Amino acid sequence: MASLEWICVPRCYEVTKNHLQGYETYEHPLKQQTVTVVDSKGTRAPSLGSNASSRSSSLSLLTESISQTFEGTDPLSQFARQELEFNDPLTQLSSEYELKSKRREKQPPEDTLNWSTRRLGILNRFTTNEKLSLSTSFLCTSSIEGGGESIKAQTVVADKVKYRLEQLDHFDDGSMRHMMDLTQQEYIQRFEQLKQELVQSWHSDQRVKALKIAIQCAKMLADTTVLQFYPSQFVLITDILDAFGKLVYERLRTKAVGAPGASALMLERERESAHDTCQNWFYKIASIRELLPRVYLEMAIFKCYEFLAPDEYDSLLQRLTYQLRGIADPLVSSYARCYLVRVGTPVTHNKAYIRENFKDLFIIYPQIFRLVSRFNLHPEIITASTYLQLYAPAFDFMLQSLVHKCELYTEDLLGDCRDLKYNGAILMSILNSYKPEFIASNALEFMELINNSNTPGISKCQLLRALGSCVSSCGPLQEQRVKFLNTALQTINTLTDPNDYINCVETWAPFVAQYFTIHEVNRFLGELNSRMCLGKAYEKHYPQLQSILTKIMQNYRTIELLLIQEHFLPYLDLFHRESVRVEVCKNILSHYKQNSEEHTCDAVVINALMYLGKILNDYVNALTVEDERRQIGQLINGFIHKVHFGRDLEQQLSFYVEARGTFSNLDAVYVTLVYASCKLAMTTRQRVQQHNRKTMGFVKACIAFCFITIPSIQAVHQQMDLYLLCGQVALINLCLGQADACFEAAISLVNELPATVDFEGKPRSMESYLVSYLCNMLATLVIVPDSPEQGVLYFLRLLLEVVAKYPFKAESAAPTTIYLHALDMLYVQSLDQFPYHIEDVVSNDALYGHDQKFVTEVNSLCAQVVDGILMQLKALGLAQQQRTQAQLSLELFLRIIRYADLEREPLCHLALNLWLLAYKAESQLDAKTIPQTLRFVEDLYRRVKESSPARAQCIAKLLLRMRNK
Amino acid sequence: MHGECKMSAINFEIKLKRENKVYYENDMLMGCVQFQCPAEAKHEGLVLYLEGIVNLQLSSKTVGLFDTFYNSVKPITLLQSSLELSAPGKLAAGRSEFHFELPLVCKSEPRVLYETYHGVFININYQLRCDVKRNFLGKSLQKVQQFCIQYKPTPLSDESSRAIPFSLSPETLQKNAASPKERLSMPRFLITGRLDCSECCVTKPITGTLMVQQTEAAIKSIEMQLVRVETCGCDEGFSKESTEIQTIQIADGNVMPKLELPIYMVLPRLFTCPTLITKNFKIEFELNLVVLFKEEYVVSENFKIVLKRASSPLQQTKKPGADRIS
Repeated sequence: MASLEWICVPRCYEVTKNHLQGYETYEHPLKQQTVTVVDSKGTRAPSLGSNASSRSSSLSLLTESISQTFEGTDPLSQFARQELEFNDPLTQLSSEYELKSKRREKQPPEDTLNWSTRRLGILNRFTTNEKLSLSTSFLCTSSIEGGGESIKAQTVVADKVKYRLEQLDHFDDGSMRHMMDLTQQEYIQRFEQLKQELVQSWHSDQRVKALKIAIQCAKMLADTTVLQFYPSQFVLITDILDAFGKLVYERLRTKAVGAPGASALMLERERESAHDTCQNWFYKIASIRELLPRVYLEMAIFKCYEFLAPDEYDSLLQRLTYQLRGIADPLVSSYARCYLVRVGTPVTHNKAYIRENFKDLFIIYPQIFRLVSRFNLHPEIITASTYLQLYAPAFDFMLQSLVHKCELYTEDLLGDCRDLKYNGAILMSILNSYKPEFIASNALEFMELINNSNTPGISKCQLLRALGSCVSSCGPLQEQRVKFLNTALQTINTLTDPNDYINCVETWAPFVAQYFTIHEVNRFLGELNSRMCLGKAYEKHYPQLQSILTKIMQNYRTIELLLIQEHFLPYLDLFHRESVRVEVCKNILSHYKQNSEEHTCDAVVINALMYLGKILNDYVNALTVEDERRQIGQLINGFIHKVHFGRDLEQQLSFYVEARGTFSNLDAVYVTLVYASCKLAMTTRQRVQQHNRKTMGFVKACIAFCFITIPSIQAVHQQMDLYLLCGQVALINLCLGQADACFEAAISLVNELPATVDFEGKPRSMESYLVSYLCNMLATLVIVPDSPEQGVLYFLRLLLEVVAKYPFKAESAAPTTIYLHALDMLYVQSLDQFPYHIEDVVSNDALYGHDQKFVTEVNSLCAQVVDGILMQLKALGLAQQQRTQAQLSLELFLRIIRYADLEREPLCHLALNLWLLAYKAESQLDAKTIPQTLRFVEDLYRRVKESSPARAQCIAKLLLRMRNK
Repeated sequence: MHGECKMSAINFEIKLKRENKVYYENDMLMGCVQFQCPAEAKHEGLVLYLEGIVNLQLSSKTVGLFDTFYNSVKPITLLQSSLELSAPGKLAAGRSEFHFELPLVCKSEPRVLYETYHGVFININYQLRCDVKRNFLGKSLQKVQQFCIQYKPTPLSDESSRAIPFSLSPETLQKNAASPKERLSMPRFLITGRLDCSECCVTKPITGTLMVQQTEAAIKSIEMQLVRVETCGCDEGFSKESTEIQTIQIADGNVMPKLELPIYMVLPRLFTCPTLITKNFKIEFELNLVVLFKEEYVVSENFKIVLKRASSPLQQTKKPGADRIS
C-alpha cells in the first residue's frame, strides 16, 4: 500500500557536532560540596596529598559533613545515625557478650577488672528452671512493721538499744514471709523490689530497716539449694549489698566534708560525728549473729574504713580473709572471697590478701572434690563438671585481680597450683585469667601441667581448649614452638571422644595457622580428617569443623596455597550434609574473592575452586531463593574473573568451555562467560592488529562459544543484549556470517520478550527497554553489509516485520519511535557515504556504490515506514493521545523536511499537514516547541540556500504556508 | 490557763561542753542550760541536779526468797548535788544561757565513781536534770541529760598476755554435763584452740584461734557467747544471774579439720564495762564456746574473762544514743 512516493535527498550541508569543552578534574563532581566544607574549616594541610594523616583526618571530616548537609534529606544516613544513638537492647546484649568473649583480645587493662562487665555474662550463663525460694520480711506486707514509731515508746536507753539490736537478728515470725516456688524471673524481680525497698527506706530515714534488708539478703547467700543458679544469686544479692554500701559511704562522706562555709570548729565537730557514726555502723554490724551476713555486711561497707582507719586496709582485709575460713561450704566461701577481692581492689593496690585468699582456698580445695565425688554418684542433682564450672567466675575474677598490674604472685601461685591435687579447676581459671604473654612464655610448662592434671569434672579437653586459645592470641617463643605443638598434638590425639577432640582442636587451629608453615597446616588437616572420619564423627561436629576452616583461612592474606594442600579437599568431604557443605563452599569462595592474588593460573587451584563451584552449582535448583542464587552466581563470577592465563588465550577459552559445562545451573555465570569470551576475542584482535588464519579461527571459536552459550540463558532480554554484543564483536572481527546469525537470532527473540519482567519484586514494563534496544540495533545495522544470500536490507525488513507483530499498547508511542529511527537509518543508507564505518568492513555504501536500484529500494522502504508512522499517528488520535500524537507528528515533520525531496508536492503537503496537526494541539505541547521548530526550519533554509537553491526555495515556500496558518 | 500556754512554750536543753559526753572521776562537768523563749516567761526558780545511782534489781525468781535482805538492794547513790541556776524571776524573751561547772567526786561510800553500765539487774547511770519550777497552777518542766563515766585507762597486767589454751573432747566435758555412759556413746571429736588472753580491754576485740582436729559427727555451727554475770547483795546472801549479751558465730557448717579458724568478737560498747566487784554487787563476764553438731549434740566450754579499760583510743566511747547509725 505504498501510496506515498518517497524520494530521499542527498545531504548538502556539513553535519557538525558541538563538542562540549572538556577539562581535567581532580575531584569527583559529587564530592565538590564537601571539599568546600573542608576548605572553610581550614583543615586542609598546606601539602595536601603528601601527608597521609592529614588526608585521613579530612576524610573523616568529609563523611561527617556529608551527613550534616544531608540531614533530613538522606534517609540512609539518618537511619545509620539512629542506629548509633539508640542501640537496641539486642545489639547491646550481643556487644556485651562479645566484649566478654573478646576479653582475651587486647583490651585496655583498666577494663579487665571491671566487675560490671562480667555481671551480665554470669546472669546469662547461670540460669535454672528449678523453683527458687526467698525469705524476707520486707516485701508487700512490711510497711507497718519496723523502726520509727515503736522505738519512741521505749524510754530507757538500754531497752531501746537492746530492742534495736534484737531487731537486727530477730525477725518477727509473723512478718517473715517464705516465698517458695518462684521462677527465676520472679526471683530476680523480687530482688529488684528488695533493692528499691532498701533505697526507699534509706531515703525516708529508716536506715535500720535498710540495714535489715541488707542483712536478710546476705543471709540468702548461704542458701545453695539451687546450685546451678548460685553465681547469678551472688550477682543479684551483691548488687543490693553494693547499693547499700554506696548509700552508707555517700552519707558519711557528705557528713565528713561538712556544710560549705561552716567554721573550722564546726567542721571539726562534723568530722568527729562522721567518724562516730561510721564506728557505730561497724559496731552494729559486728553484733550480727551469723558469720556469713556479718562478714558480707562488713565487706559491703568496707570503703567506709576510710573515715576510721585509712592506713589499715591491708590488715583489715587480712583479718576478713582469715574470718572467712569459718564458712564451710566451699562454693559459698569462694564467692565470699570473690566479693572480698571486689571490695578490696578499689581501695588498695596491695595484693597480699588475695594471695592469702588463694592459700586458704587451696586448703579447702579438697572439700570441693569431696562434694564432686558425691555429685558423681548423684548426677541428677548436678553433674561434676557443671558444679566445678560454678566456681569459674569467682576464681577467674580473683585471679585476674591478683595478676592485674602486678607480677609478684604470678609464678608463686602457679607453683601452688602445681602441687595441688585435682588442680584442673584452678588451672582452668589461670588459663582464662593470666596474661597470654605469660602463658605463652611458659607454654611448655603449662602443657606439662595439663598432662599431669587429672581432675574429675574438668576434662583435659577443656584445659587444652583454654590453652589453645591462649597461644592463638599470643604464640610461645620461636624456638619452643615446634616442640610445644608436637606435645600438644600428642596429648590432643589421646582424647578418645570425638567431641572432646574437635572442641579442643578448634581453638588450636588459629595457632597452627598463624605460627606454622602451610605444610604443618596440611598435616593438621590430615590428622583432623582421619580422626573425624572414624565412625562418621563429622556428622555431629559441623559447626566446629566450619569454624576451624574459617579460623585457618583468616590467617592467610592469599589462600591459594591452602587450596592446593593435599588434605584440603578431603577436609571438605567431611561436610556431608548438603546445606553445610554449601555454606562452607560459599565461605571459601568469598575468602578467595577477598584474600587472594589478583589472578590465578595455577591448574590445581583452579581445579579446587571449580570443585567448590560445582558443589554450589549442583545445589541450585528451581526452588532456590533468588537471592541465594544471585549470591552464588556472584561468588563464582568472582572466581572466573580471577582466572587468567596471560598469553595463553586458547587455554583461557577452554577454561570457559569447562566452566560452562560445570556451572550449568547459573545464568549469571553464563552471562559472565559470554562477556569474558567476547573480551577474549577483542583482546586477540588487539594483540595481532590484523588477524591471521589462526587467530581468525580462534576468534570464531570464541564467538561460536558465545553463540551456543546464549540460548541457555533464561532471561530473553539478556539473550538479546548478548546476541547484539556478540554480533558487534563478530562484525569487528570480520566474521560476517556469525554476525548475521547473531543479529538474526536477536531480532527473532523480540517477539518472545515478555511485556513485563519482575524487577525487585515489582513488574517492570519492557517497552522502554525494547525501544532503546532496537535503536541501538538500528545504529549497528547501518554498517552491517547486506548478505548476498538475503535481499536488500534484510535485517531492517525483519526488524520492521517483528515490530509490526509486537503487541504494543494502543496508546504507546513506542512503535512510532522505532519507525522514526528506522527512517533515520534508511536515510543514512541513501547517502553515498555513511557517517561511520568499521575498519575493513565493506558497508552498504561501498557495496552498492549508491546504485540507483538500491536507492529506489530504500525510498520504497522509507515510504513503507512513513505509512506505518501515519497509521500509528491515526491510532493515537483515536486513543485520545493528542499530546503524543502532536509530538510525534513534529518529529516526522522534521524528518521529512530534512530527508525528503520537498519539490514533490505530496511530501510537501504531508509535511504541512503534520505541522497543522501539531499546531492544533499547541496548547498541549511545551510552550517553546512550536517556535523552536519554526526556527529550525528557518535555520535549515539558511543552510541549504547556498548549496541547493531549489531546495531552499521549497523550504521557503513551505515556511510561508506554515506561517500563514 | 493562758499563762500556762505561754509558759509551755519555753524550750530548753542541757548542753555539755564535751561532744562525746565521756568524763573521768574528778573531771569538772562543764556546760550550760540554754533557754529559748518566744516571750518573757515567769518561773519560781531554776535548779540543776547532778545524780549518779547504781540501781540493783533482783530477778523475779529470787524475789520471794530474798525478801529478808531487802535492804541490800537499795539503790546506791554515787553522786547527788544541786545547783540553783536562778532564783524565782523571769526569763527574758529570746535566748538565755546559764553556765555551770560541777566537780565529779563521790563524797560518800564507796568514794569512787563506777563506770556507766546498762545491764539486766544492775544499772549504773549518771545524769543531769534541770527543773523549771513554776507556780502552783503550772507543772514544773524538766529536762534530762545523761553522760558517761569511764575509768582512766590503765595498762593491762602481764598476766593478760598469757594465752588460755583449751581443748574439747567428750572426756573434757564437765561431769555434770553428761553421764559417763552418755559420754561413751557420744561421737568422738577433738577441738583445740586458745584465747589470746584472759584479761581483755573493753575496746579491743576478743581474739583467739580454734581448730577442729577431728570429728565423727558433722559440725553445724561453732559460736562464741558473751555472758554477763550480775551478783547483787554480797553480805547477807546473794542473787547471781547469768544472761547472754551476744552470740557470734565463728564457723558455719562442717568446717575443714586441721584448719585454724579465728575467734574474733567485738565487745558491744553498751553492755560491757570493766569487770566490777564491790561490797554490794558484782559485774563479771564470761565466754562460752558452743559447738553444735548436726545430730543435735551441743558441747560448750566456759571461760571466765576479766574486762579492763586498758586503752581509750580516741572516741572509743559509749554514750547515750551511741548506737545511732544515722
